[in-house]
This record gives sequence, C-alpha cells and structure tokens, in this order.
Amino acid sequence: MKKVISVALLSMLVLAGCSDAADSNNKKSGDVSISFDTKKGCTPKTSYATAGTFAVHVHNSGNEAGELEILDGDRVKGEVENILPNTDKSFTVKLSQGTYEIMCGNKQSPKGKIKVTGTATKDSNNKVSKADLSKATDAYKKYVVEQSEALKTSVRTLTDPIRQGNLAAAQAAYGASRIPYERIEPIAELFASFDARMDARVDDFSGVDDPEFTGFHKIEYVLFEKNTTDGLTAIADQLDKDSDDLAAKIRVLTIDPLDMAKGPQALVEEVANGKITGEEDRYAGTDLYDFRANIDGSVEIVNDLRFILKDVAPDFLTEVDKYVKNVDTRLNTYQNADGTWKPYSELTKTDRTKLKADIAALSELLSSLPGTLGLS
Amino acid sequence: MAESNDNKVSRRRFLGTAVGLGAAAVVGSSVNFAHATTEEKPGELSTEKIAFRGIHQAGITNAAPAAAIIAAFDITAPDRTGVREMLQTLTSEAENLTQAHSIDELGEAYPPHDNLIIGSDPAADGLTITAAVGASFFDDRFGLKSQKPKELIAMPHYPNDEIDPERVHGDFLLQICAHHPETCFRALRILMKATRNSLVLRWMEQGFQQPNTMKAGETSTRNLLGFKDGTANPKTSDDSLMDDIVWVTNKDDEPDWAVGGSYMVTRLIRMRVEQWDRTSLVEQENILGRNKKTGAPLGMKHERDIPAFHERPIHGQIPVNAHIRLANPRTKQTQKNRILRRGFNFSRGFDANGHLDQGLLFVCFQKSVNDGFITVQERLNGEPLEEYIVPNGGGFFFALPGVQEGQFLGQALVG
Repeated sequence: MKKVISVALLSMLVLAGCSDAADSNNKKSGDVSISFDTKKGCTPKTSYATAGTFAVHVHNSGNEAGELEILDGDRVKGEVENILPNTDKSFTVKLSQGTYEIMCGNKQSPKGKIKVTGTATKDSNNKVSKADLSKATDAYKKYVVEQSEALKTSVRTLTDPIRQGNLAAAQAAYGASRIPYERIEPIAELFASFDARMDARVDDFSGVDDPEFTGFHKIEYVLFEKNTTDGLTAIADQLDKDSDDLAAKIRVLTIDPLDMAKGPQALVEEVANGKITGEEDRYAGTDLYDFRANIDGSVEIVNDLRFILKDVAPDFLTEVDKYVKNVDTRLNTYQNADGTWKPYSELTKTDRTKLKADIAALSELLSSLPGTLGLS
Repeated sequence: MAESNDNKVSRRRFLGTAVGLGAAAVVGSSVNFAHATTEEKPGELSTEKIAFRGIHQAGITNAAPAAAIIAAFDITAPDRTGVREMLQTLTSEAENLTQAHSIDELGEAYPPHDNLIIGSDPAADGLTITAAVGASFFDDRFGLKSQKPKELIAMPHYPNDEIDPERVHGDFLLQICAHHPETCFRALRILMKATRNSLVLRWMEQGFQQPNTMKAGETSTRNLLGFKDGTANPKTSDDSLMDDIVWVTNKDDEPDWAVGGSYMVTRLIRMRVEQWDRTSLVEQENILGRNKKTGAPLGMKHERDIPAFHERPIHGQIPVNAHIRLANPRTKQTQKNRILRRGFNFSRGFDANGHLDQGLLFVCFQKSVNDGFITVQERLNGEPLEEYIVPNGGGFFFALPGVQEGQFLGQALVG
C-alpha cells in the first residue's frame, strides 16, 4: 500500500490532513508548537518557522474539541482534526516562504498566523555513505560479470544446434539461452548497439524480413514460425560474437550507484510493460523464462543493497520482499520439475491479473529506491 | 480569450483555454476565463469544492458535470485486510483530491506524487470520486457473503445485448467526475498509483456531456442521438424524494451497512449513429416519443408537459412502444420504478466497418435495482429503439454509503 510505504518507510511524506504518531515529547528543532482554545484562538497568535517540512505540535488548552488548519487563502496546507481538550496531536506540513492563516479550533475561533521565512532545504543527498555504496556496486559488478560470462555459454547452447541444423535442440535451448541476458538487461541496454543487434523485437523494424532484424528474436521467429534452422548461421555467429564482445565491455564497466539503484525498477518495468502480455517471445511462448530472469536480476540488486536498506529503509525492504515472494509463489507454479517453464499461454487469466497487480505494486515500490538511497 | 502578445504564456493557460472552450456551456460553475497571465494559476479550473464526507457519497445527486471516467477493477487483494487497506488508502487519496489538499512531495530523487496534469496548485474543479462494489465483491474471498445487498447480482444478459467479455462486470468501480477531463485523469492516475497492489483495471470508459443549464424538469443536455436526455429525472434537491427513489434507508430490507448507499447500474450502450442519422425525423420522434427540437412529449408544447399516453394513439401522438412510454408509464403502480439517471456520452474512435463507435455511458442510481433498472429494462426489451443501439458492456454495482467523519469508505462493511 502506498500510504504504508510512504509514511512508514520514509517517515517523511505525511499527507496533508493526516495526523501522525509523532508525540509532543519528540520535538525537533524547526518544529512549531501551538496551543489553542476554540474561544480564544491560538497561542502564540503568530508562530514562526523556516521554510521546508516541519512538524506542528498542537495542544488544546480549551474546553471543547477542535481542529487546527494552516491555510493558504482557502487552501488547506495542513491540518489536524478532533483534538480533545487537554490533549496533543501533531502533523507535518511543508511550507514555502510567506504568511499563512491558522484556523485555531473552529471556523468561529479567532484566527492565528504563521510566518515562514528562509528557503526550504533540499532533502539530504548523503543518506548512505560512499563506502557502503561502493561495497554494493562491487557486489553487483561481480554478478553482472558472472552473468555476462554465463551468456557466452548459454548463447552457444542455442547457436551450436543451429549450425548443426538440429531444429529440435535449438528450439529446446531457446528459452534458457536468454536467461543471463534478461537478468542483466538494464546493464546490457547501456550498450545500445549490442542490445539492438541481440535483443530487439520485430516491432523495431519494418518487418520480419528486414535485414537489420537479427539476434535472439530473429532466431526465435525462424525456429518457431518457419520451423527451420535454415539461413540462421550468420545470425548465430553474430550473436556469439556479440555476447563475447559484450562480456568484454562489461568486464571493464564501472557501475554507477544510481544506475544500479534504478535497475530493479527497470527490470520489473520490462515485465510490466511487455511481458505481462506475452509479446516478448511471441513465437516461442517462452516469456516465463524472461519473466523469471528479470525478477531474478531485480532481486539480485535488492540483495546487494540489503545491508544498506536494512538500516535506512527496513519497512521498504519488508514490502519489497513481500511482493517478490508473491510473484515467486505465483510464477513458480509454472515451472516444470526439470527446471523448464510452461508456455506463456498456460498462464490463467486469474494468475495474469494477480501478477499484473503484484508486478505493478513492485514497480511502484522500486521507483522509490533511488530516492530512498538519496541518489538522484 | 484574447491571444496574449506576451511570449511567456504559461503552458497551463493554454490548457485552460483549450478545455475552457469545450466547457463553455458550463453555467453556474465558477469556470473562470481569466485574462492572460504569465503566472501559473489554477484560475481556469473551477474552484467548486464538493464535500467528500457525509451520509451519502458525492457524485450521485450532484448535477453531472462535463467530464467523467468510469473505471471497473478486479480486486487482487488476498483477503479482507487487504481490501480494508485499499479502502483506507482510497479514502485518504480521494479526500485529498476532492478537497484540493496540497500533498507534500518527497523530493527530486523520488517520483512525484502529483502528476501535475492540472498544474502545480490544482483547484478542486468540482471533482467527485464515487466508489461502488459489484456482486463478485461478495464471493468467498473476503468473507462478506452474508453482507451482500439483497438485490445485487451480476448484470444479466438482455435480449438486445452483445456483451464484450472484456468490458463487463467487476469487483469494484470508481466513478470520477469533474468539470474537465484532465482533472478526472489526474485523479484516476493518483488513485491507481496508490492502489496498484490491489486493484487491476478490468474495463474503463471516459464520458463527456454538456451540463444542464436549465431548471429541474427541463434540460439542455442532449445525448448522441440528438435528443434531450434527463427531462423526466427526479428532482435531486428533494431529499425525501431521493430517499424514496435513490437511497437505501433503514426502512429497506438491506444489510445495516448499506443504508445511505444506492444500487448503481452502468451500461455501455453503443449507438448506431450513422443509421440513426439516416432515419427520418418523424420516425426518430416516434421511437423516443418526444419532439427532437423542443423535448416536448409528442402532441404537447413544452418539455415539462406531462406526456399523454393514449391507448390508441393516432399520428402525432406518442406510440405505445415509444421509449419514454415504456421507460416511465407514469402510472401509480410504476412510480416505484423510477430511477435517477446520470449518464454521459462516450466516443471511442471507429470500428472495422468505418462506423463511429460512440454511444451512451448509461449510469443510474436507485434504492431497489429490481423495482428500478431491471423492471424498466424488462419493459424496454423489444422497443423499436433497439434497432439503433447495442448495449455491449457495463455492470451492476452498489455505491457505498457516504464516508462519515473519522471513517473510511466501506468501513461499516469491511470492519
């Protein structure tokens, strides 16, 4: 749930009108304290604050319940409702420079004011130490290199039978041959020309006969739609070469923490935007291999960052783990005992709907990962 | 609005101009055609703010504004706790949206909460967000079988229906209405973003209409057949009439939680507009039973005249199978069959035949769907109008009771 995430995980976003759990013993510098009496209005009559996000601690010193609203014209910038006599409530508000009116109790109560000066400070950009980020990117770099090496091998399980003219073996190898690539897709995509040759779909070209259409999906088309290995040798050779060259490039790649932090969402978005419909491997129906591999790659990054997230965003981590588990549970029922995956068409409508929700929720959640780490 | 000579005209002003023209017929709302300004202000949006909390939900007896979205969802929450969380989140987001509360953003490293479709300081723009549940909400998943409103069923198939399975039913429905379509889409996107893990779109339709500028009993609103629509609608300002026709009350034999709610029927009714436009005026008028230009019942002068239903109508009188006659025979026995219609037009491009795909996004509310829509539809089955219309989607729902202070949508239902 978004609210849970944003409030619990970040404890920064507080929806206007939402009183939070911060009690008045927990005041920070920059916070504002106001007491009110529905008959007499606010004390002090004018409060002062520095622009930005701060907490307002409200005490009801009167004899009847009331509410307190900070108003910009007729727009409510922040409020807390139903404060009983002699009790306290707090809320968080974000205000820029200016003078705002305060409703102190109810509409009839004398109005108060809050004067906001100075400029809002930006969110701290160094939530996480450089050393910790390096540790995480090193771990991820190791994974990416491993996968790129694995890709050289897995590609050959597909291209060797093509060169031998063994259609059945090539078809059987297709789904699994893509796994390492899909696991590190956002990294592979940093090398645009490789991605265009290796993994572009037919939609990116004028048609299946476009000479520019090469790589995995051209092979898929010929193997599963034409039912032959004929004419694929040159494309198979090129795919071998590209996977070798890509691995060489990745070996010397420096991974930027921000790129890494964007990775999990990018991978899940791959699924959300294309694979849920089964359009990725439209000829072979092997989308579940890609689906699984994208999620694996996403989880890898989260795991590499886990030691950081445990400290800075434990609730976020719990939520991510929960949705990953949901996706795993549903997805893995489609895996055969021998490790192969069922054709995408066997996914039931109910499972497709549920996967849509879990994938979308995960994607929504992971979109906050860079921000959570203070990276922008 | 005059073109400004100033090159620094804001993007928002441009938007305001574009949508403002479309809504020029809005009278009584505070659409403000402000003078050109370089400052980005929400001036072109209406500042009308419709209360979110109350004993009934908004968006039912309020006059229909120019724009609407109806979105039906499958609920993927695994249990009642998940549904409760979804409803709590929706309540909070919907209240913030409809009441134009400003929302704190987390900072530039995060995706923004507000999509800024209607600018950085959006006005309420008459926004209402109405939530409803379908019959499938009460299946085994959430343990609420015994709480189902007595008459809530999945929309039955009627003889003239050609239902598209992709555009029918749903566990949950949101009706979003405002003076501008952008306001509706902003709200929809924020609401969906907040509920990704539990709501998955099932079908959706975008509606538009010219809000009525005339007093009760008369209407300037026309449907895409070109006829006035809504003339005979009950007067929504009459609370006791609304209790008789629209709202479930504690006198009705319904679960306690349902008091204050209303049965909501949605129907996607495609109109064969090309064929209609090739039909003679007299035939069109005989099919509906009203004068096309004035809206007066056939044989009468004024829109508000009570139609005369002759047993053996002659030329110029209302035929026995005219739409208005079947829909509302105006007898003592049929008074309880009255419904509150609140529909919109829709348009979705064109079909493979090159025919415009447009029609009526029919919406009606009633305290009893058996006495209301179902009875009326059974009378209408076989009407001559069927030659020109094809209902192809929609569903039966129950609009939740209003949200009281300190509560969330559907709290009395899900606990």
